[in-house]
Amino acid sequence: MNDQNQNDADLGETETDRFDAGVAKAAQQMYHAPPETPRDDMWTVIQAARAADVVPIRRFKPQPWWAAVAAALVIGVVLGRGSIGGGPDDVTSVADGGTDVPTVVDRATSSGAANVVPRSYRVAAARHLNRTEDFLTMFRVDARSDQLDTDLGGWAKLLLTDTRLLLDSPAGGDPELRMLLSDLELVLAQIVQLRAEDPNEVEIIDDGLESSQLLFRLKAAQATGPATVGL
Amino acid sequence: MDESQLLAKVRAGDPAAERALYDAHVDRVYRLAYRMTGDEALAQDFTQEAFIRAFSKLHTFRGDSALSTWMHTVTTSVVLNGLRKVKKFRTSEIDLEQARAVAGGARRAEPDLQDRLRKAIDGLPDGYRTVFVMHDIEGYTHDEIAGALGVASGTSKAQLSRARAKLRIELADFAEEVVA
Repeated sequence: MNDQNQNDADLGETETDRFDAGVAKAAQQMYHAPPETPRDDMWTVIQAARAADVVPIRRFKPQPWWAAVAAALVIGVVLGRGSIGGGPDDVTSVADGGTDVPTVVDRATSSGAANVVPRSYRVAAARHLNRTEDFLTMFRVDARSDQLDTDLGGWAKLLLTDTRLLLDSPAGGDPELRMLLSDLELVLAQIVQLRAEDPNEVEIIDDGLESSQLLFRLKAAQATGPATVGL
Repeated sequence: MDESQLLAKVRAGDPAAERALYDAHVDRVYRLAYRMTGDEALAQDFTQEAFIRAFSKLHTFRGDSALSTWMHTVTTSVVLNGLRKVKKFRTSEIDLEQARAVAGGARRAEPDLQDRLRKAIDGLPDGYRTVFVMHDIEGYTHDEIAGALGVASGTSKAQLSRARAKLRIELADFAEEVVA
């Protein structure tokens, strides 16, 4: 007879039940007895976090419109290639104040045709930043709760392709935007190459997001223009 | 307001409905987080993360179960997943053999039931401890535990049975006090 059975036999069935109930009752009173729930404090933090970072995951699910978004981005970038330095119909001057997404205005150049950025490029870039922010927010939330989505790599790959398209476009000369896109490229490439559920790699990427303030910079880049980029 | 109305309002972004949903569940989630961690800051972190996660996943709720059941399953899962990542909080975890040695005659040196109880529960294997805390301390049903842990209900029952058996051994010399 092992210790457990010996002990049960010593106590008898009824006494065993009484003992278990007694232990449970004692534990309810003595084991890490919780203080009053700090409801309001936690609610404030939850609301702030949701307002700052968290967006509904439904926005990233691989729906058919993903393909349309990607296509629109490609068209935008291609149009940007074709019209950089072209006529006024497709461009917005830096000086005219009419930009809805000023962060993508080419500040690297100073005058003339080179001083304008095609509207199609600006819209495409703004949409891309919006999508990428959503995606990285989802990644961070998932990473911190140990519940990474298995489709993560596929979405990151789509975003990485678009990031590179924007980086390669001659219309994308703004140094701040280029730096942001370069940082995005690095993070997205890391996520694409992420081995399934490797906690160390996930942590490294998460730390990288934190230290580079990438989400904050993405928000800031979009906040400088009217929110006309949502799909 | 019934659950479907509450859900519709939350999905529409009604702040009062979100708060109502939070208020309906936060105590139980926080209590579990605190019981498992014994640390106020950690319990708050886990609870907050659980609700952020639950609100962000609300669109996945299909109505197969009651909203309250779904909400509680999601939040509890987040808390328990988070706990797996920070086992270091269990600084007082002691080896079961060590606890048994203490149980074998050290009562005079360690007469405090509260201290012995804490050590005995902390000394349980993780799975046993989780089920014991959820069922015997916080009053979860085996179905709720099974849903939150992603195990069969029978597994929860078996782990509880083993947890209780180990505690009987660890606390045998407190039998009179415990039963009284």
